[in-house]
Amino acid sequence: MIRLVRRPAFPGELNHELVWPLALVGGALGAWGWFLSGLTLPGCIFFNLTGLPCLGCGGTRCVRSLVHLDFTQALRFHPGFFLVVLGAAIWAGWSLVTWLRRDPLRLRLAMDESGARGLRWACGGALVLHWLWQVHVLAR
Amino acid sequence: MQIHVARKSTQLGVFSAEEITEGLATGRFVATDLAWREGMASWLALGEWAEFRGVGAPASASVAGTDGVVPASTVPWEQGKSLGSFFATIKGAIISPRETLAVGRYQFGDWLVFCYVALALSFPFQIVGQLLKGDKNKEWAEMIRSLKIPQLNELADQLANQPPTTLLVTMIVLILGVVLGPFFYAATGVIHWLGQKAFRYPVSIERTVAATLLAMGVLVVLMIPTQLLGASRMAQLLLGGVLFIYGCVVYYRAFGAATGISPWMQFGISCVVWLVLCCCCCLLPTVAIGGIAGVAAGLK
Repeated sequence: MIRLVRRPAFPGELNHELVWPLALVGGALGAWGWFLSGLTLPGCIFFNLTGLPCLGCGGTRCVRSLVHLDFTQALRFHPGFFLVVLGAAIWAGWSLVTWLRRDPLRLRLAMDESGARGLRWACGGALVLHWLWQVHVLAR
Repeated sequence: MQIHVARKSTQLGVFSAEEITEGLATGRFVATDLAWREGMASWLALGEWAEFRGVGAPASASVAGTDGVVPASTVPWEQGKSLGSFFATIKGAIISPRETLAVGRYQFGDWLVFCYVALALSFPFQIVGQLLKGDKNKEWAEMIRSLKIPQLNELADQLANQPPTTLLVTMIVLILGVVLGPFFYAATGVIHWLGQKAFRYPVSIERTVAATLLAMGVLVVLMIPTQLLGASRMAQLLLGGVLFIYGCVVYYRAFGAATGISPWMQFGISCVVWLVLCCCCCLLPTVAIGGIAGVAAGLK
């Protein structure tokens, strides 16, 4: 069982409503500054050796497309990264609403043992599918 | 109705009242664990719930053992040293780290032995891997050249001109790796502990180092298959690449459970610690050398 619940934060819990939006803004500023500086990253060693993309390949091109607001190309180059950024943007919006409403309840994913196991398998499967997509789009 | 349980900064999951009663009796949960269910305004320690009062350990038996009370351990390796408990710990660390590793004594000696057992199991595979691999200096030189990074060409030339490594030297290197490996891992644990301190997590240095040795021991066992792929660099890279992500997940889940800190937070601390280390090791000497060179040039 996996479901979304609204519950109070427990003492010591990571403030997800603050951390992830800050990470998104910091990452966006970092990426913007990086491309503005004209610096480039070294090529992927795994790709150079095997001719096959690693799981991160296409990430820089995805970020470059995002910075230029070309969302179709961003999704094509690295769907995983694109979806993470999209999720973070939605989460940042939700966090802002929570903060403005002074809502003590936090939206969290709750799962039992079988739900956690299912989620792990789903993540593993998604990684495999993602890599196959990367091979299709990026392989030499 | 389902009950949400959390310990320190980690959410343990959602459980039924029966599971919690059983967990309190077996040591899976402790009375200081926080719990919440729909309708409650805030989280409450399990020991303060009317329905769980009197079940399991008293609230004073804290998980980290910071109050001097030594809690009963749920870690198989701490219940008795045998190959059975070794593999039970590995299995628990991979499948259900929070339940297996959260309550333990985490003494350095116990986990040093654990790490040595993992390395001893890996050692024969390392020897076979090295024998299959043979001398690959020239192949590595080609690989470095194929990266097309001009600064590395000199290194590639040096490697290509190296005489083949003798079996004796290979064996000495492998044995030294096994003997000194756990101490190297422990040193990384100490560095990580400094990062934890910076983030104000009051986990003891011994527990952090022990957790590092535990997580590294699990990784060593997980990575054994890659040792046998010495003959094929491509296969080694592919399997290594796949296992690397899985290995990171296993490592931080086990490490997080053993230290009582969320795996994501531990991952974040590692990133910060190694980023700072990289800056200190690479950037500062570069700036210092550049500064000295600048001053020298100015003096001329």
